[in-house]
Parts: sequence; structure tokens; C-alpha cells
Amino acid sequence: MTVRERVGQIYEAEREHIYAYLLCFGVPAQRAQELAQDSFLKLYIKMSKGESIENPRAWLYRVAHNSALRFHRREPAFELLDLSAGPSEPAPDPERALIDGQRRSALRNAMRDLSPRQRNCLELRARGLRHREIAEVIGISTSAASEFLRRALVRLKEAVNG
Amino acid sequence: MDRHLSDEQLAAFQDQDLPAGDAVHLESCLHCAGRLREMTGALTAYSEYRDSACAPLLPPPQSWTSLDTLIARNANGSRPKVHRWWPRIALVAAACAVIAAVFLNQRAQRQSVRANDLLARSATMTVREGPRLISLRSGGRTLIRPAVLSTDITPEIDPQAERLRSLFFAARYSWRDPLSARSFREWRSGLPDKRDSVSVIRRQGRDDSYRVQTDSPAGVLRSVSLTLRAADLRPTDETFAFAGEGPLDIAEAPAPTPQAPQARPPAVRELPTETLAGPEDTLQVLAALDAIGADVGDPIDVSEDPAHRQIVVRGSGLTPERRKLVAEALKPLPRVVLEFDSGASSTGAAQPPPPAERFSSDIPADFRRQLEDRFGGVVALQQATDRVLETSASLLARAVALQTLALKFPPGIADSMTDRDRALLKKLQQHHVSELRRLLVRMETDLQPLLPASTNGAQIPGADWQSGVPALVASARDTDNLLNHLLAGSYNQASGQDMLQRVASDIERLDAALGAQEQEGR
Repeated sequence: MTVRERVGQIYEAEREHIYAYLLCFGVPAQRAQELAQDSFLKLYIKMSKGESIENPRAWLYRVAHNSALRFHRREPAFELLDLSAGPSEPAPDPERALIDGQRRSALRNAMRDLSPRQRNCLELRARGLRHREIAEVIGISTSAASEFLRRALVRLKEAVNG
Repeated sequence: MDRHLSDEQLAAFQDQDLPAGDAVHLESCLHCAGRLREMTGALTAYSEYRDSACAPLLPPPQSWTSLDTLIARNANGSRPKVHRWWPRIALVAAACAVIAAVFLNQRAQRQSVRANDLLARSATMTVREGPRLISLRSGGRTLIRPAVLSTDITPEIDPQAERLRSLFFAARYSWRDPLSARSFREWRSGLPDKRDSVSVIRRQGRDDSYRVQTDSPAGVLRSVSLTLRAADLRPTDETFAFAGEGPLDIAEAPAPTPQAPQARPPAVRELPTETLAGPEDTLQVLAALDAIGADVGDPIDVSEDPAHRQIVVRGSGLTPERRKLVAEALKPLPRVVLEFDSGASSTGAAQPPPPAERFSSDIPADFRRQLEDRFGGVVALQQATDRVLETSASLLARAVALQTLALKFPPGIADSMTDRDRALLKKLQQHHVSELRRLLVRMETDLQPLLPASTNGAQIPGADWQSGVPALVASARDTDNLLNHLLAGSYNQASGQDMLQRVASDIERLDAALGAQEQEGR
């Protein structure tokens, strides 16, 4: 498989995730899409030069994370997406239908109680990154990332269990 | 193995990093297996919740550009230019269209025009009209001069104009004809390293425009942004960012009145500023935002439009309620335009601190016991950690808000304002400072077990409060980093002791910087 084909596969699989991650930093939608595309082009350029990237996915998130920092030119707060403005009609997907309004409300309240860094760790974890990858993306120690994540999950667990 | 797995080990199991021997424990221990299910369940609940609510709301605004197109586009330029994405039709059009066709089909092709093309085409346009005037706005003053001078080697009479002339000269940018695509191109072509961007500006009731911006990482002139009217690519306004200087905005000025057609425009004259938006308008907006607590932490940007006719307030990712609140607060103010981005996140009131939880980062056991002894136990350390880190984050956000105020109203601008506006500026500064003091006192109280008896640092003298703000922000940032590392990081015993000793000095430095602000604000 050529570098272009490999990056092409990653691009197809991950671009929406990187885009959504940038939105969480308050980057406007159009700019988020541009920055997401920019991240994959950088990945291609790096790999086509023969540089080895052990974990392209985590690398992409780190590039996106740094792009969001540069976009704001200061430390941006990782915020919740506007979940309260979700669709009013029940989603046809049965899995989504399981999440009733009461549970959503409890989850929303729980997440608003989290610190921005806890939410950031949670979002990356939900996107499948390992603890050490989350630490690498955000620029903190693995143990700190684990701690932030653990606290966030404890809060959510309490909310889910009522 | 008969003891239960720690949270870290459960996380390592999820990451497939747990040694096989430990993983076997999970097969036989209902307790640990149950904890693992709960952790997984909480994460799944979050994912489902987020996806169900957000996915329908957040489609990308455009179709994705293919990777091949991105690569091809990059190959045509010296640097990645994916910040400028173009639909496929643009590539076809750019390859075959002639200039006339471009103008005829501007609406369809607006997003396909590149910086080079735009500047080249604009430079070839001939202005068939009488002498134009331009306004130059910098440091709270507005100067008027002819758009094109006969020469740029003659020193200006006005000191500020002369200073600008020397900056243009140093940057090798034409002072003779600054508001032109030709001058922009000449400067841009001489840059060894640059980054271009093109955007389309559409505003109701006004002509569509292109904005071409080139940033340079080095040199006297770091950025130039030129706005071209879409209909005829005529330059209408321009913003310069010189290193270490405030922004300089140049715009077309009203033509000379017909009653005095023979009167030659003076080399430089003052423009009456009553009709333009100025720093006092920005100040009123910031004061209104401060009144609703929207100047700290909210992603809201306040700036003047290039023509200085309006104050543009941009909010990104605000909830509908927050937008409404901001709109209501700014409603009484004239010349304010709101631009809310609809595709991002929500922020609302200040986040309440998370409840205390068990603390379990990689702090060496001996050092952790030392911290617990100082704070009075495990629970007390957990509670203090939560409070301190939240307070530190709030303090840093407040310091950044003060920095915004200092950057928008440096002494030169503040001195030119009316007494009333100066008083308002002082009130805002003092509000930030008093909030910073309150947060610092709270943090010092929580950190008391780590601090010596007195942490009264010497105040840093400053000529004005604005000049002391960078030191304050730097101190707040350093302190925040140190506390995050000390209380929620991973380190060895020696590093822990070193950080412990630095806490007091960092707090002292922050205290001194804040003291200087209080002193200057009186």
C-alpha cells in the first residue's frame, strides 16, 4: 500500500472525528473543516518524506489540538457541544431512542460539572484514544490524563446510575 | 493475585496494556469486572448522548476535498494551503477561465480565486477617476492623505505620519501607494517565508469583498490584510500589523466635496472622528459584556471593522440563551454588529467546581503522605486540590481578560479618551483586579499548608497599569501550570520537593504583579 493510499484510508475514516474535535474547542465550522483537512495533508507530507509515525491517529489529534490553540492564540477552554439544542423529535435509531430525556438531562448536568480538561480527556477517550495517547495530545503526563478521565467517568457513572 | 485491580490497572486493561497475569484477575473477580463495566458503561453513555444530540447539528459546511486534490493543491504552492479550500468547480474554472469570464462568473467562482490571481488582477485594474483620499488610523488618531503620493522619500511633517513612513520604509512596503494590490504584491513577493489566506466577506446591504491576507513569521511587517471589492477588485481597506506596534488600518476616505474641486488635499489632515467607531465604542461594548460576565471565559471577540464604522462582536459556540443575553446587553449601543457562529460549542455561566473525589495520580508515596500531612489528611488534600485547580483556572481567565483590556487601550489611546471614558476604563480594570485579588486570596487560603508565614512580595513598579499586565498574565499562567503539575501530575520525589518550594515564590510573584495593578489602578 502506498503512503497516499494509506493516508487516504485514514482520511476517509477519521476526518469527521478530527473536525468534530475542533468544534469542541469553539473553532467555527468552516475553519474547523479547513484545519482538519490541513492536519491530514501534514500527515501525508510527513509520511511521504519517509518519517515514521507510530500512531497516525493520535498524531492527527495532536496536530488538531495544536491548531485549535493557535486559532485562539491563547489557552482555549474545551467546552461541551451544545447538547441542549438537540433534535426535538425522537431519533429513529433504536440505540438513540434508549437515551430518554431524563437520562440526557442528568448526563448534561454531570458534564457541565466537569472541568474543561476533564471534558477534553473524556472526548478523546470516547473517540478511542488510549490514556497515553490522550496525554500526548493534550501535553500532560499519562497519570494526569488518567486521573482527569477517572474523575470524569465517576461523575458520569453517578449520573447514569441516578 | 488476590487484591483488586486499581483504577489505573483497569484503564490499562482497556488499553490492552495490562500484563496477562493481572488480566486473569478480571475473569474471576466480580467486583473488578463490575467496576470495569461501569467505567465502560459511563463512556458509552457519553458517546451515545453526544452522538445523538450533536451529529445532526454539526455536518461539515462543505463537502470534503479529496486527499488527491489537497496534495495537488499543495504541490502547486510552497506551503500547505489547505486553509483555502475550493470546490471542484473552482479548479476547473481556474484552469480555463479568462479574466473576463472570472468577473462574469464571480458569484459562482468566488471561492476559487487564489491570492495570487486576485492581487494580479487587481493590480492591472485602472482607476479612472480623480485623486482619491485614504484614511490612516493608528493609535487612536486618524490621518487623511492622498491615496498616491508623488514621492515617498520626502519626510512627513506630521510626526505620526513620519513614524508610519519610516515603518513602511523599513518593511520595504510602498508608502507612496499603500492601498493597492501592486504594492501588496511587491512586498509579498519579497518575503522568504509567508502564509496566504483568502476569504469572502458577505454583508447584508454592502458589496461583497475578498480579503487577501499574507502573514510573515519574521521581519518588521508581520501581516497585511487587503480587502478588494468583488465587483471590480478595487482595494477598499487594508490592515497592517507591524512587529511591536498596534494595528494600522487604511481605508478609502470620502472624496473631496464638489464645492471645492480645485482645492488640493493637504498632505495630512485630521479626520473628524465623530462619525467613526473608535476605542470609546469598544470600551462601551466591553463594559456591557463585563456587566453580564461575558468578558471572562466566553469565546467573544470584540474588534472594529476595517472601515471603522462598526464594532464587530463575534461569538463562537454560545448557547442560544447566552447569545440572547449578549444581544440584549449590547442592544442600546450604537454601531455594534453581532456575528454569532452557529456551529460550535456552548458555554454558559461559570462552571461549578467538581465534587471532591479520591486522588490518585502518580505522586511518590512519601511525597503524597507529606502533602496529606500538611493539608490534614487524604480528604482534605483532595478537596484542596479541586478548589485550587479551579480557582487557578478562573484566575488565569480573569488575567487574560485584563490583558485584552490593556492591549485594546494602551496608554496612548487611554490618554486620548474623555474623562468619562477613562473613568470607565479604570473601573473595568479595577473590577478585574479586585476579582483577581479575591481569587488569589482564596487560592492562598487553600494553599496555606504549603506556604510560609508571609508571602508578601515586593511590588513591581510600572509606568502604567497596562505595562504590568503581561507580567501578571505570565505569573498566573506559570502558577497554574505549577499547581496542575504538583497536584495532578506525575513526578519523582526530588521534583516534588522542588515544586513545593516554588509554590511560594510563584504565588509571591503573582501577588506582586497584582499589587502593582492595584497600585496603578488607584
